Amino acid sequence: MPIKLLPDDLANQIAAGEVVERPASVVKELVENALDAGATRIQVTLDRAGLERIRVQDDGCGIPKAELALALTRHATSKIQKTEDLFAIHTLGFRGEALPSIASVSRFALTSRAKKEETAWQIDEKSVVTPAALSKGTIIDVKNLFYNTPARQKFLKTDRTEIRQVEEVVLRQALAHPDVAFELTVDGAQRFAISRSSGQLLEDNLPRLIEVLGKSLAENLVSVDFEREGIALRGYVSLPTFHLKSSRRQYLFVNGRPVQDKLLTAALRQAYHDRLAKGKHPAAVLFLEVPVENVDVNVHPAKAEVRFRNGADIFSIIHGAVRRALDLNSTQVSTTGTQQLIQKAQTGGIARSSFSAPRPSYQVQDSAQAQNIAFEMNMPPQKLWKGEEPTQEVVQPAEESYPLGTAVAQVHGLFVVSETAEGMVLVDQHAAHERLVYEKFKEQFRQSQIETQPLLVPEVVELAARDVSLLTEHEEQLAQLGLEVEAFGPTAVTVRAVPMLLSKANPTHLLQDVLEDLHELSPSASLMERVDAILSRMACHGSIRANRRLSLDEMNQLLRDMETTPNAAQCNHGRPTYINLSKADLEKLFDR
Amino acid sequence: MKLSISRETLLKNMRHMSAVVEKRTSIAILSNVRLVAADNKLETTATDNDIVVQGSTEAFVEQDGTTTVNAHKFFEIISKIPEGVMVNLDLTEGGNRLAISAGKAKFSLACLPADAFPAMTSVEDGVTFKMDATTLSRALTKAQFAASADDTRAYLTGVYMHIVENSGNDEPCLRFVATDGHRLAKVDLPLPEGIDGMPGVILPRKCVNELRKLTDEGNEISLTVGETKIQGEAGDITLTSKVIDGTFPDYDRVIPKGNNSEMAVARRTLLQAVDRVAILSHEKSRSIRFALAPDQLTISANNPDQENATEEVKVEYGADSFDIGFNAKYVSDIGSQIESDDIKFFFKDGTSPVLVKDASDASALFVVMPMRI
Repeated sequence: MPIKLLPDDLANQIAAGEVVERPASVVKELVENALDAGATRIQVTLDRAGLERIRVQDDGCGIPKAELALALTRHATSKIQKTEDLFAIHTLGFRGEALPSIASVSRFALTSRAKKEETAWQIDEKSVVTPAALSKGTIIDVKNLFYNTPARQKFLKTDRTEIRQVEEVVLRQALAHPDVAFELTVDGAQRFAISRSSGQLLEDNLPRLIEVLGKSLAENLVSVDFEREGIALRGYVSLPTFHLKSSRRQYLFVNGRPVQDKLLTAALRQAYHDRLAKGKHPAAVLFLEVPVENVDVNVHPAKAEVRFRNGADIFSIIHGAVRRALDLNSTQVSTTGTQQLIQKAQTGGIARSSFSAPRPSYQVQDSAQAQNIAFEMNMPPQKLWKGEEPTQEVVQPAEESYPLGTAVAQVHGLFVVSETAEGMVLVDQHAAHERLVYEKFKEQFRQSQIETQPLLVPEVVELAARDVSLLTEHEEQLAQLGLEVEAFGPTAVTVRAVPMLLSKANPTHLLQDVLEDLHELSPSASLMERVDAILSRMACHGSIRANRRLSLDEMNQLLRDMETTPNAAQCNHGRPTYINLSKADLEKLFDR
Repeated sequence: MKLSISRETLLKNMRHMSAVVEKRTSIAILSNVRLVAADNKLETTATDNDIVVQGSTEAFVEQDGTTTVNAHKFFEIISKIPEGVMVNLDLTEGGNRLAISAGKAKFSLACLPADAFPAMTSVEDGVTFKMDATTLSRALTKAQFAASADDTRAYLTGVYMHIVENSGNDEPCLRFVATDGHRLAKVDLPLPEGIDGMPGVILPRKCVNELRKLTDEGNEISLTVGETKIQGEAGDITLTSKVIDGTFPDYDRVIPKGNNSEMAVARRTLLQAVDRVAILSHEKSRSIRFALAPDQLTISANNPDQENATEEVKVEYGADSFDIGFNAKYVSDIGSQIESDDIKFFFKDGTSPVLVKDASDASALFVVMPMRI
């Protein structure tokens, strides 16, 4: 076949293949356009998951009649003008592809009234312009999406999945733009309406976070606020004791643009590494501000990915800032435990049944549901009183200032009950002490010299060529940590020495594990994670076991140590070490 | 099957059986020991699919028969029967139960039919020779401690038994070597008669343990070694084991040749000092420091809590002064394999492998890699 220039509509359909993948991508493009147009209110309407109809209405600046036809032409945009602009992009869109792409795969109508125009005008996918009625802004109506590309239709997921994707797109933008109101209506029913909140990020953004992410998440966030060399990272990450099964709730916005970047997942993973159990993920909403010239957004057609001029710096900033934020709040525990406890008690469960019994008694607690709060209810009353003997009461006022309060009793050889100024605290003694010992070990390890065990029989490990070069690249840093490797031909390395603490491991496996991480993390991080795992195991064996009776002095010492030790709110496996019950919480439990 | 047998004979036999049977196994029949009664003999067999141990003991057999019962329970019952009591075994309920009676105690054990028991294996094309049982046991013990416990590198978990032909300084010998990559032990024995052509084999940990136990059965042990299996016979017990399929590292390369700085030290003094000083070493790395000076060794250690220990030990040493680090466990492990009163260390410098020898036994040699501290 001879080489020919493709007709416009075919070229547009090819472009649509990259940009318009599913209803959510249409919504994303249209919402971004609306935001670029300075909208303060964006309404998204879906019918049959957007396949029948997607309608996005905004109150932005509108498109003048004269430019309407151009808007539907490929590579026509108002957002950039010259090459230099491409390297300093301030708008969400810039490729000039979205509208023609969408128009090429749907029945399309754009109605717009620019500020100075007297009336609104409509243009359809065939570029026919007719007068229309609209007071302000733009309405884009996309009907029968993919009607002419049946192949695309086949790849769509269920309606529910597609709707969730759309929701996610709108929520992401809502997080990034608190000054804009968002509404989503699906098949005539309103999904959500997020009102406009004034002011800037952070504090003012919190109500928006609550609206978008829900109260339980928003309550368990710590704020991140960091600035260095023109790069700023602000936002929130979840407390380690509040974790999720997937990394779905990790949002990164680069200069206000939502991006999905492995860098964020990796940096978060490293920042949380010894505070979260394997398979658990933190939630995060982070806004990264970098000078526009240091970030290339023109990497991905849908702009889901960006490229940083210095990715390693960004990585260390996210990691460092999150780590610091966590350290600052390291003794704070999530409200999850308290909430669950109160919920258990309120939703029928045992607490109620025991109180509705003819005579309130403490003996009904054997039911399975009771288990979770049993420790609290099961305490024989005498024991409670014992802790509150007069001698104790004399001591208390002086010690009231301690955040974790004064120990009153130990129950079941497992938990320490402590009375605080605002309520009470329940401490899991083993989990808490394990963390204390672990933090001590870590501190000692960081301060001491690295011990190395050279191998009598150096281990030759066969690897892919690119792994060998990756290792040799980091040879020096690894050696400083005790792992000495040396290239042995292009596809093998010899391990000459291993860090003493890891010397029991198979050097081949150690190297492979380190390599796996090296692609994402720094050499120190990947080795340290392994050393920390050993230290954590040592800590587990070196700490107070369950069923050890503790004296009041021992319990108080434990509480004081917890207050001063970093990360004391969760054990090495990410479980909470204590639960805080405020007086109000307690009153709720008793329906007061 | 109906027989009576002396409790002592049966117990001695069952010790070998129960040691081979794994405590937890997914194949039920492997938890059992097979009992075959015939010709006034009770034959027992146990296996874990890698090692098979067979025994034969005198018994008064009234009625021939075959069955299998749980090896650990059977062993425990026999071991708790008082000494000198005759044990009666009787297969009842159509072969479903083994009734055991001894004195006034009666037991009934569940049986599994013997036809499901794995078929026996034997060594093909093996070389058979006899050797002194105690000599073999000592050689295995002295080598095995240096083997690795890391099952991901199977070839390091065993003891490499092979013939060394006349090469350089070495006399032809039967050699046992083990290493975990950090230290190495090598024991040479004179070649037993008839060993010519024996292939080199890596004996698995469990096989070494059972062979050592087997050497208690008689003064002499007969070994048959093939490419894939080894068989040992002593007294009434026969042990057959697979060997590790792998290549043993080129250990000769790592045995230092030019270590000229010799240090002689009294074994007990050194080991006790190491033991004391190591109390304050890091609990995981166990690192201790040897500071060598003419006729004086100073051993020291410190831990992350900034506690420290020092002890001076009198030695015979005339070379340069320097410091060298060790894992205390490696030093005491080697020390406890040395039988005479003095240990000789041969150093090169603070970072090269160190040679350790028994002052009055040239057959054993140890190498340990120092630690960088």
